[in-house]
Amino acid sequence: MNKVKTETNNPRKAEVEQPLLEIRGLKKHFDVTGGWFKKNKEYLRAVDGIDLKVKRGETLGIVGESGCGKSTTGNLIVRLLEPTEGEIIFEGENLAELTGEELRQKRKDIQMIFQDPFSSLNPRMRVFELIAEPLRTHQTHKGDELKKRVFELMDVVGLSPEFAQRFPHEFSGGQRQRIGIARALALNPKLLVCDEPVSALDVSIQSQILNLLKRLQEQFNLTLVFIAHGLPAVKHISDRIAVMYLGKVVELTTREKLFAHPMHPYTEGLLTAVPVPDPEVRDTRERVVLKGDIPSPVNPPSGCSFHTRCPFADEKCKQDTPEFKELKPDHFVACHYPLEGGKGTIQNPS
Amino acid sequence: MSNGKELLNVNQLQTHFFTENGAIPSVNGVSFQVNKGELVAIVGESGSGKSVTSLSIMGLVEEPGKIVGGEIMFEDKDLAKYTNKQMRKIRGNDIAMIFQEPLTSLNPVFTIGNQLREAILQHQNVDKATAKKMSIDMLTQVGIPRADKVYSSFPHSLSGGMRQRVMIAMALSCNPKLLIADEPTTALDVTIQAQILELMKDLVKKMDTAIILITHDLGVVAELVDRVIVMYAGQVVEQSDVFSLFKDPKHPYTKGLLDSTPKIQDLNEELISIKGTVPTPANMPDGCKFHPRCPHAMDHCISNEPKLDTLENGREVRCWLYDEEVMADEQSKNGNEQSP
Amino acid sequence: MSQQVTPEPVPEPQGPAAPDSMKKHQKKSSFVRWMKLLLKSKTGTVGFLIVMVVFIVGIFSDQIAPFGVNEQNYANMLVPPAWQEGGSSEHFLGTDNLGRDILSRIIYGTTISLLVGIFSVVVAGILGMAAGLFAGYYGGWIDTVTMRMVDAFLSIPNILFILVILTVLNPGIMTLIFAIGVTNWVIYARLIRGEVLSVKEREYVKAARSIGTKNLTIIRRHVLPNVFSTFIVISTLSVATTIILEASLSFLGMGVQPPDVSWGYMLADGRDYLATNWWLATFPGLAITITVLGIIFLGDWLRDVLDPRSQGR
Repeated sequence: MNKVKTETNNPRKAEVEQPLLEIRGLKKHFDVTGGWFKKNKEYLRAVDGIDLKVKRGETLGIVGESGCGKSTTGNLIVRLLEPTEGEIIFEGENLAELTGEELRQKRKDIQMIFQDPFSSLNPRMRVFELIAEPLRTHQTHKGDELKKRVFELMDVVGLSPEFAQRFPHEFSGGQRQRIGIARALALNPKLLVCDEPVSALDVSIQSQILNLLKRLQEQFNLTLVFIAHGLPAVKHISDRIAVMYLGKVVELTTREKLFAHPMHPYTEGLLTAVPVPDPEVRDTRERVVLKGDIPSPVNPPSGCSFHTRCPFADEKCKQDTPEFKELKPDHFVACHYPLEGGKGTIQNPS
Repeated sequence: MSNGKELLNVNQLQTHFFTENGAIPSVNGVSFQVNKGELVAIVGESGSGKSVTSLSIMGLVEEPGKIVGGEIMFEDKDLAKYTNKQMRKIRGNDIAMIFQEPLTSLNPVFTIGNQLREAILQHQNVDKATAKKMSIDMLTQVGIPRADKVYSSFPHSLSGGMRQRVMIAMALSCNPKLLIADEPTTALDVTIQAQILELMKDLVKKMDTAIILITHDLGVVAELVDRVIVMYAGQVVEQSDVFSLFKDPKHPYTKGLLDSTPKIQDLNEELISIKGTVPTPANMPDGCKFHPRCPHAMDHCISNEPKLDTLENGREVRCWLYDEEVMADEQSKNGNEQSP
Repeated sequence: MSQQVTPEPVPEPQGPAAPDSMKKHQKKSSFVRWMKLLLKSKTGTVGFLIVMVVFIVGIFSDQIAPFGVNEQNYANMLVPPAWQEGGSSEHFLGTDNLGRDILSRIIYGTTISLLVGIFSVVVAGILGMAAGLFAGYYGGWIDTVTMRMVDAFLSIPNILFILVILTVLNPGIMTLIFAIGVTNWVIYARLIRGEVLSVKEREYVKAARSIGTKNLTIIRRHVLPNVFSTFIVISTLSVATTIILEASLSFLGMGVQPPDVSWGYMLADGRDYLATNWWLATFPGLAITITVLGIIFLGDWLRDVLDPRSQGR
């Protein structure tokens, strides 16, 4: 089975354990030429060469604004999209090369939770059927056992059993998301890709779902890839956070380091852009308001793709693409002029 | 009753939606005031009635919804009694509105300039050339680079942030006395949201427009406004100046909302949520509408609906915890059990 | 503030109760439930009654009709309906130019009109549904080929194409059903494909793919049920237009052949007498109108009821 030999020559860390998931040079380009007669093809570079490792049992947060490729990355990991280039190595096996039945079997191990709890559930199926679907698909449970398993799953995500025969439209957003989570857990996956699972929910409900995911992760020893558009959402749940901008990872480190000492100017902009719910500090707090708009991924800027909005950019940034490298232990940044101390927003990370 | 400063006085507003299941009270007796040049936020989650309140003020409630009671005093006119035709003169002139999704609010087949100029021509007595000059001026004011180029471009060629700037320009082009902003930054990326918030802060300083900001995000509220109205299930549950509200929220719902708003500067805060779900009109609880989710709910709350009480320095709260009689009663009933 | 994740039941008074042994519960009450739903809608009830009556008449035409289909009576030619001067209670809707009882002929015609209407829709529906589902779901060359075929079919006038088939093969009921079926599938294919394209993009289809559901299962469980309401609407409308199409073909003499009779055939037959003896063509025409209306009413109601979101309203 092992088509790809796992990389063991990791000089940086004495890490014997192989990561659960490793992404190498992953690219996804969409053809957006439009029209049959254009000579020069145009590509939307949704994901433009990223490398990531996800360790067993950890949560990797992926953060970025619209067009940064975070959702595409999630879809590539669960193979809802075909990668243009690169490798997705899951437990030593390159998912990008799997097809047909092999891939179908592998899907048991990698499940996804979707953003919109209103469109990700078939409106014509009852809760029981929705949760039973993955079990039936892979024929893991039958008859009474299936029934038992479904009610067990409902219990795990906090849905009371009398809901089993209701339709999705009878539920609120938070409860629909619980149904989605129960479906994702049904096959005992090893990796759970959560694509903005709380961004469509009311604020007072969001933490319910985040707490649930956190609890389930401990209970079932799950590994999570948690995608979000803002840092507040990934703050609690992530062990490490990757910040993406225009199809590339620009910074990757532990959440403590990221929040206390962001080294990429974009991360700092993202951090300070979050409104602070305290009117006392609104006129005094330091913030970096990034100028301009996010460029189009069809025609990304030359050199460092962030140079058009960066307060520190110079000629070098316009011409040379910065290398993504480990500047401090466990702290990867792609920037020519990384922030030294890093302003951050947290004074005393403990 | 007007004290000269008051611009808008909404009094016991009731907006119902008439469905096959009967009337659904989306807005159920909402009262509040907005002074000239004041920045007020209406905060609430989905189903709180905050958007329907704003649409009622604009006279934009659509079938099967209808204002069935109360008054909306704008200066000396009761907008609740205005016909559609009369409202058209008010909208865009005295009261303007910006929406969450700026793309759907702009007509895709006309240029930005065309739409902006038309808006100005409709409400102000100027010729075309002046209107164009004013439009470009306005676009520059809302921070659009190369305003004359944007003037002749179509909505789809602009980014979300730019479109929202155009919407703001259009809304402010006629110097409205009141601007209603319905979730103006919700659809935008966080770095763009920061830009728009900065812009709104600047504009507010320059212009004398009162703003009602409709939002679910207490972070945005804290950045921008003077006074906050918290809505839950079609009612105002708390009203306060922004500083007191964030320092010492009175209503358990406000407190819950504040606790569940993530604070980026505190890495190890606990994840706090309000239990349960927002009630739907079909299963609205009796008594206090918040009691099934309230950590301090008492027996009294289950069947008695609290009034909006006035506390010190003009704050208002709709909760039995602040009724001395009820609390004394509860305490004697529960013996030595502690109240919050 | 409470921090635990308390699952709070959404009290939902509208939803059907869900007891443990719910399969049993469903079976027991489903007939009653459907009847209740039906009675809630006025047009649905009317449609249902009309369609039931038409079906019963169609099935038991032999027993119901007072006279034989081709029973001629030269003594009673062109008798007007009973309520008109010169009419007799024996021939309630009058007789035609050969003295045949109009009521009886309409009753016999019901069978043929329904047969043609329903079966040609079944043929067209199955063909079109399959084509639309596969073309829409798989896309690519399957889609291109299917849709070019659809375009080709649509570019030929419908009735001309059927006439050609009918001329080449022998006219008759089976040929008629076949001819209408193979020309009308394109309507289904086009509309269903469009629906599939939109359903396919919904997140729950993506969700099903992510758990490893096979394509055919996705089509069957996720795509088909969600395009089915569209299918029902086209089908009911199509039964109606097919009855009319059959009438026009019979009117042109290429449809039902004597001794069989259909409403359209009667319509064609009575054409020459419209000015003098109006009842020959009017009553079969009325039969078509009422039946078509009934089917459309029923179809509209079905579409609403099949949507789970409408349940409990």
